[in-house]
Amino acid sequence: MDRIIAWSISIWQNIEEYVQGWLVVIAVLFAAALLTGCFMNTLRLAVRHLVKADAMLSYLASSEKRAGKLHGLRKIKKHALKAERLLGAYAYDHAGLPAVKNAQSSVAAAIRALSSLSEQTVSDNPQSVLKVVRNAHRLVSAALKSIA
Amino acid sequence: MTEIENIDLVVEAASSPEKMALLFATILFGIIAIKLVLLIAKRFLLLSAVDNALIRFMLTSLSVILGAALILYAMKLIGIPLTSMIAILSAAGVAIGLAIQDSIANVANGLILIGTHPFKVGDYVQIGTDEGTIDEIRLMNTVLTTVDNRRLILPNKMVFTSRIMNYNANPLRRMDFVFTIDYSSDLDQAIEITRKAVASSSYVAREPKPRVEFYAASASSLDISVWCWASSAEYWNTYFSVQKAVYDAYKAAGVDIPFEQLMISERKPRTTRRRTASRAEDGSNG
Repeated sequence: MDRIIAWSISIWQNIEEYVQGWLVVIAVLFAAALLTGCFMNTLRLAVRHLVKADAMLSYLASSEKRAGKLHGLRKIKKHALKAERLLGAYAYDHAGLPAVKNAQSSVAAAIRALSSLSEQTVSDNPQSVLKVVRNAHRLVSAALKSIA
Repeated sequence: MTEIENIDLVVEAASSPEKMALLFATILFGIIAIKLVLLIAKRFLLLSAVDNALIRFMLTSLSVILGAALILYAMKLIGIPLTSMIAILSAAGVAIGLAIQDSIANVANGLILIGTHPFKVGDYVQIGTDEGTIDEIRLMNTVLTTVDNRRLILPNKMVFTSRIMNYNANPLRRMDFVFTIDYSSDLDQAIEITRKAVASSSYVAREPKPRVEFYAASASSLDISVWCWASSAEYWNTYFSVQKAVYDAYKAAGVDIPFEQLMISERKPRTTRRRTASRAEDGSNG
């Protein structure tokens, strides 16, 4: 038994530095994966983006002044685009689940609606902007309900 | 280096516990690292605008490349020379490439199909002489379901070189109908009735507006043509509903619909009658 332990220790001493190098590589990769949400389920990540978009839309849809915030609209579009891609990937992996497919098409419609807004529209016609934002909010909420 | 020398090196490596431990650690940590790299790559690819089928292919390719690199690295680590191994692999690669060149062409065309998007899953397409709904776009082949529910698998090389017609590329499709009325019917009234009947169908798009015109004075009928637009997905529902609506409207308004008539006239052969008569005469004489 002692011989086996001594033998193992001598092997470990020989390869210790090498294993430590590998451990550093794995630790870096693991941290990167953790930070980018790689261990999270695709659907859960999509829902997270949707919830963010929904919350921001509900804030912007409360008044004409808020609805005209272009920076906010751009941020919402970014979250919605991510959610749409993730929902598409989830539906692809799970043979097109109808609820996820419906949610994806709702989000796609919301993105189309938000894309129709330009700086010109925002400054010239705040009422129509509010209408578009409310429509997008309705669509994103419908997508969330569909997944739930 | 001869083959025997190579085998000797492998045996030597296997008999050294340090080298075996190194090999084991490399494979174990290498697999974990590859899994993590694939996980990160997948997440980034998912959030980019890359097609899902292409993502799957890229991840599979990446895992194969990383796996091969890991094996070569592990072999180098325990002292197995890679030069001869790479030469063997290259020769094998050329031989395999020549043997499966058709499959490689299918994969290359599959990648182009996935990248260029001539159609997507769920589209109704005509590829060459084959028609069906796209079920799946794989790397080697494209799977369709025909209207009579048969599964059709087309090699991507064939799909790429064939004429592709995508019926779902645009949201609306124009539908052409020709309705015929009798010459005795009032043409203007019939056109108005047709227009109302077409508009009554819930499947017909309101914009662009349907167009109903006098098309031609045919041999036995006046032809009224209808051009209307409908959602690509509702093509057949629109077709059936317009046909029924127009027929019902014509029937209710008393518009005559001409139908083909065939007149048959019977002509008795004279020569036969004469012969029969002469035979009868001969019989009575005899």
